[in-house]
Amino acid sequence: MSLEPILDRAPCGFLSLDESGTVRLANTTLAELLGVPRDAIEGQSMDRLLPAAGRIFHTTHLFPLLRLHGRAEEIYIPLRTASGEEIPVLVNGVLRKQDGETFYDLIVVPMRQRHELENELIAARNMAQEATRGKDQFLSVVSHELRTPLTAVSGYADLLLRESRGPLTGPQRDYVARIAAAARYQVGLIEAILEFASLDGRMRLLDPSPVDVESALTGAMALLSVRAAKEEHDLRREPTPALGTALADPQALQQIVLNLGVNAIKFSEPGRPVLVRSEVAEDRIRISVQDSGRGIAASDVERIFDPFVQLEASDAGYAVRGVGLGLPISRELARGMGGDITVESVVGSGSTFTVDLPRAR
Amino acid sequence: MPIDVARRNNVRLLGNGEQPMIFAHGFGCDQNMWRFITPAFADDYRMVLFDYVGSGKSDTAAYDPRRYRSLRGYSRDVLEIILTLDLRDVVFVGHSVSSMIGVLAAVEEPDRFSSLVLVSPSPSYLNDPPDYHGGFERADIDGLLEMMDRNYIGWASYLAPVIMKNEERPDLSQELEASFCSTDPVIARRFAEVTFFSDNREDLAQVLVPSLVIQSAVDALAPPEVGRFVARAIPNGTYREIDAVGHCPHMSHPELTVAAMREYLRVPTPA
Repeated sequence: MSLEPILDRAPCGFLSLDESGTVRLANTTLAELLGVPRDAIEGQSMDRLLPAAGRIFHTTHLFPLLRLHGRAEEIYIPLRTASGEEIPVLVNGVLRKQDGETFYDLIVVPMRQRHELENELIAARNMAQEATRGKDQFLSVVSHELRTPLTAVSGYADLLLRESRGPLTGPQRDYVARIAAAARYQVGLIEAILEFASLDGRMRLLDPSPVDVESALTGAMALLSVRAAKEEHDLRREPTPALGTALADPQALQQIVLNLGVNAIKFSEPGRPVLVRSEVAEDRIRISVQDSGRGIAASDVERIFDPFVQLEASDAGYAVRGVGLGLPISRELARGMGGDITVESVVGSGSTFTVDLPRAR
Repeated sequence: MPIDVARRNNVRLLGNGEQPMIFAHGFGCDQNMWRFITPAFADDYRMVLFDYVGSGKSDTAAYDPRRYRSLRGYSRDVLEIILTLDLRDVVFVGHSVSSMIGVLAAVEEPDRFSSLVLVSPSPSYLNDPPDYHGGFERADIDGLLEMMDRNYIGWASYLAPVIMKNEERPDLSQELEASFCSTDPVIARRFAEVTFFSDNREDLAQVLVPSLVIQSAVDALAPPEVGRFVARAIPNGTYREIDAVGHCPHMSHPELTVAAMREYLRVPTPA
C-alpha cells in the first residue's frame, strides 16, 4: 500500500501552500469539493479559493498563526467553489520545512450541518445577551424612577407625623402613618428587587473566610430579638457547645441568618416560639431556624425558593407581606459559598430552614 | 497617577544602536510578528517593540472603548510611548493598519520622527468609486467580523496557544513561538471595525516626515495601486515594490523587506 493515492482520496481536503500562499499540492477530495480539476487549484493563490472576508482572515489570523506558532487548529473559514458557493470548513494546519523551503500543510473538513447549528447557537447567544442587558438596564432605570418619588412620599409623611406644622386629628395621624408605612414597604420592595437583579455581580464578590459562628449568631440574634420582642415572639437560641469556624463571607452569612429569622418571626403566631439551633457535623456547620407557623405543603417546598413566590400573601397586610426574594437571595448566597439552604416542614406545626456551610479547617 | 505606558503596551527594548526604531504590529497579531526583521537592525538601532492594548501581553484592563474607537487612540499610544521614553529622530515601522497609525502620529508630532516605513499600507480598505479602489465592500468586513466571532468561540488554541514541545518539532524549535498573538476577542472585534472602516486618505497629504512604502507585488489586502496611492499622497513619499506575494512580507519574505528598509535608511548591509 502506498500513502499517496489514499491521501488523494482521503475523506478530507488536503493542500500544501508555499511561503507566498500559492497552492503547491491539492488532493482530489478538495478539488471535488470546490468543483474544479486538481490542476486548476495547484499553482493558484490560496486567495482564489477564499471569499473577500476569508482573504482578510487568512492574512491577518491564519497565516501569522502558522508562520509564528507553527500550527493552527479548528480554524473556521469559508471556501469558495467554482460556482461561487461558499462552503464552511474547518482547517487544521502545520508549518513544514523541506529543503530550506517553508510549506503550510492544511487539511480541510466541510462542516455544513455544524455550521447551521452554530448559526442557531450564535443567534440564541446574542439574543440571550441582549435580553440580559435589557433586563439589567430596565431594572436599574425603573427602580431608580420608582424610588425617587417614594423618597418624597415617605419624607413628607414623616414630616406631617412630627406635627411641626400643626397638629393632626386622630384619623389624620392614622392615615398618614399608613402612607408612611406603605412607602417604606415599597422602598424595601424596590431595594430587594435591585439586590436580586444585581445578585450575579454580588456572587462574584463573595469572599469566604473563616468566620466564628458563635459570634456571628450572637450578632444576628441581637438584631432579631428587637423585632421578635415587638411582635411578642419567643425567640430562643438552643444552647450549643463551641461551634468553631465556618468558611463563609461574614456579611452574606449574617444576611442569611437575618432573612431566615425575620421569616420565622413573620410566619409564627405571636407568643409562639422561634428556635435558632446550630450544630457541627464532620466538615459542615449547620444553622437552623425553626418557626411555629402553618408549615409548607410538600408540593410547595421547592417553589418557595423561586423569586417572587408568596404562599400566603393575599390575606396578610404590609407588615407581614414580603417581596418573596429573601429565600432565593439567601439560597443563592449560600450556594455561592459552597453551601445550601434546605427546609423541612410539617403542615400545621411549622418549618425548619437549615443553612449548611463548609467548616473552616 | 501617571499611566504606566510601558506596562500598558508591553514595551520591550532591543538592540545596541542609538537611533530609535519603533515597530508597530498589524491587526490580528502582536509584536512577535517583527521577529524576522529585528535581528537585522540590532547593531544600528535602539529598537522599541510594543503591543496595542488588547493584543499580546498588553494590559487589557487599560482598554477604553472611547479612546480606541478610532485610530487616533492607537496613535496616541504610540506617541505616549515615544514621549515616555523621550525618543527623538524616530524611525517608525508599521505594518498594515499601523501604517496609518504612524501617519496620524507623525502628523501630530512631526518633530519626533525622522522617517516612516509603511509595510503594506492602506488608507482605506473600502472601495470609494469611481476613483478609489480599496478592495472591499462593507459586506466583506461584516463577513470578517462574523468569522472572528465564530473562531473566537471555541478557539482556545488562539487565545491561549498550546505550549509546543521542542522535541515535537526539533527542526523548528528555534523559529517558533510557544505563545503568540494572544488577542482579547472583544477588543479584537472592535479593532477590526476601526481598522477596516477607517478612511485616512486625507491625512496622507499632511505627513511632513519622509516615508517609505514597502509593497508586495501581489497583495490581496492592499494591492500595489493602493500602495502607490499612499506613496503619491505623502509629500515626501517613496514607493518600493518588492518581489513578494502576500500582505505580510516581513514574515513571508523578511530578507526582501530588510533589504528595502536598509536601502532607504542607508544602513550598510553587513559583509
